[in-house]
Amino acid sequence: MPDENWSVDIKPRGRGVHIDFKELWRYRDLIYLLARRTFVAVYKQTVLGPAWAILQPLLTTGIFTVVFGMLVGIKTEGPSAFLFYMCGSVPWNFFARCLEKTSQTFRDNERLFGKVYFPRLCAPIATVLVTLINFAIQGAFFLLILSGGQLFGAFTVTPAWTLVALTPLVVLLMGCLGLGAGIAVSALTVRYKDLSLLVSFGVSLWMYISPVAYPASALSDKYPALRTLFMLNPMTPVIEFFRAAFLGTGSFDPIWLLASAGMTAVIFAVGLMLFGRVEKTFADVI
Amino acid sequence: MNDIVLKAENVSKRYRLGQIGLSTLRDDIDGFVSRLRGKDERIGRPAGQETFYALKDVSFEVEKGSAVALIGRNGAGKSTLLKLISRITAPTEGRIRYKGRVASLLEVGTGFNQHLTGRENIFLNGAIMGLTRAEISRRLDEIIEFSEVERFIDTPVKRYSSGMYVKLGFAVAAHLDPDILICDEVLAVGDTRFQEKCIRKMGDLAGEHTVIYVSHNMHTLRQLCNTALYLEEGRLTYAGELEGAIGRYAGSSRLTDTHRDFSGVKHEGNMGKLARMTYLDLNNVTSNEYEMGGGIDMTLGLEAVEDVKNLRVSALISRPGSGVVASSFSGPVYTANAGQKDALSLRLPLGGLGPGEYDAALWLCFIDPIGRMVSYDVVPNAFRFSVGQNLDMNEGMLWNEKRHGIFRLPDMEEGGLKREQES
Repeated sequence: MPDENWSVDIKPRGRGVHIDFKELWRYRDLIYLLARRTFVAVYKQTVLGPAWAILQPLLTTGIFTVVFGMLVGIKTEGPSAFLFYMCGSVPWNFFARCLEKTSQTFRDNERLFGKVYFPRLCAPIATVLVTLINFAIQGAFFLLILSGGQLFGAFTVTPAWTLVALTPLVVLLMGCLGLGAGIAVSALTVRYKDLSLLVSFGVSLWMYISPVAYPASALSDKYPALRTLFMLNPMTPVIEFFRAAFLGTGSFDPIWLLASAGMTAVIFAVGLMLFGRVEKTFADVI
Repeated sequence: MNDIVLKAENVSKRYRLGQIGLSTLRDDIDGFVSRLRGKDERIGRPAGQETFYALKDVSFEVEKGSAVALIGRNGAGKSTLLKLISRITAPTEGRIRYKGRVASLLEVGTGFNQHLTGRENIFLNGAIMGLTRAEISRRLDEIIEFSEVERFIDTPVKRYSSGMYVKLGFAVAAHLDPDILICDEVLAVGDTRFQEKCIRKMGDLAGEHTVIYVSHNMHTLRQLCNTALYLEEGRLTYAGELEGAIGRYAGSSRLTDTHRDFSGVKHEGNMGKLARMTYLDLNNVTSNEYEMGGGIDMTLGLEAVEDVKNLRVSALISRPGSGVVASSFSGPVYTANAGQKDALSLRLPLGGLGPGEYDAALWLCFIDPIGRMVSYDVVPNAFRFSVGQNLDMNEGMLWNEKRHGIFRLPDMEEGGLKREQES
């Protein structure tokens, strides 16, 4: 019968992969509720609750300031080493958490995925949203310190306001990069279990090749030959962007940010492809 | 009328078998069957080359508003089919199409979070099933009322009893207003009154919606369903009137032969030289399925070649593929002179042996005063039987091997309750 209009057509897993974005949009309430569930569950389980969100970057920044700033004696740009490190570690932290958490998608949702159908992408997207909330809290805290110090004359910074206005786009870029890399890894860990052990290790290595604990100029001044390679790390221009926008320092170059966006698009597409291939038959493997 | 809402065409699901290091083909098959039964058809990681069809070339149509029973023995492919329809896994071949939304009750309370309240979980569970928040809000009052947990609706579900948990889960599922509802024996949980309420609710739903129901309980199926699909070893062998499928189901477990002749058993070494078992009759049975906690009545034919004294009969119960799990011994009952033939009546109590398939081997032996066992005769695969659920024995629970193990030990004895602090 030609007039039949089926709403769902279940077919074997083919070679190609297509992600049904329309369906994903229909499930947007689920994404919201999953994010809420994770947030509330974490909040209810920890003694300090959301205070963790603020403590975590404070501690990281404090350690960076002591170790890299004072012990190693890395010369930082801008009015204060503390601000410099915080401005790098807050966005880095957002990206790293996105990557680490979404790379556990299949492991964390094993039971759920085995019992009921919904677009599997809802889970990692919700994870990114939760991470985004934490990032917002940390970002607000950073801005509070920044404007407070300015107001009381502890230091003067000159933000690049045009760049500040572009921040949401760069945050989106980081989210997509973390999500894309994370779901790619999550799909691979279904087959190769030990890969999950390498994730947090890999992420910390990645941090050291990104200008989180040192200014990008420090590296490119010392080893000009490595500059291109260094800037091709999609997180390098992102962190340089944040320092240029909020502290008015550094050697931010929009061309590299565009390159980063291009790489993010590729990584994101590869992630979707791997994820889409695994999600259909995941239940048979676990 | 005759509106088709679900259509499956030549659906097959192939699983690849993992390498477990089993030695022979027979072991492979046995190991595989036990994994099928024990592990809910989830096979280990695909590593080997051997494949197995959990479903093979299944085609059927479901009309709008019908209540279809899905019937088959364990491992026939029911769960696999439900997983395919509910899109948890993809078919290997063929295609399934349907109209509208499918909600499955493969396990109620899916995605419930312990830390969230009942109300929050209703929203989460509803969203997982594909509703929007607005749709859930509209049904909220009805769901809460049906669940009978109004008083605790703002309490985290970790404080719920398992009964309340199930009730809330079912209430959400029943109010999803799906076009096709899939149920897999959930009603075996919860108290009897709530079960009846659920069945009534499902009867109501069946009018306008389509229900696919899986159960081993023919009584419930008769209440709910009008048509049936019967699966046998992954193939759809019957589709039509419910009674036809129930007949096949009952027939599949009927014993064609309750008499076993052991004259063809090969005797190795000294086996059967002094005394031997000649036949076995299983008494008072129509099927090889016994209730958990029941017993197997049998008559064993014995023949003494030489004079024998104080021999015992023992039954070694094993699971296909996983070795001996239990043994039962008779007393020193058999004493006879050379040339005598006897028929010995025995009852093998199943005790706490959990649901599943078992093989029984029979031994004729003598246990000497220092505990050495001397075997006189062995029949390795004397008979096969299966143990079925017994809700009365297990406080209404379905015995779940993964959760409870394969054996229920005798109940614990209370040594008295001493209050250490008054409230």
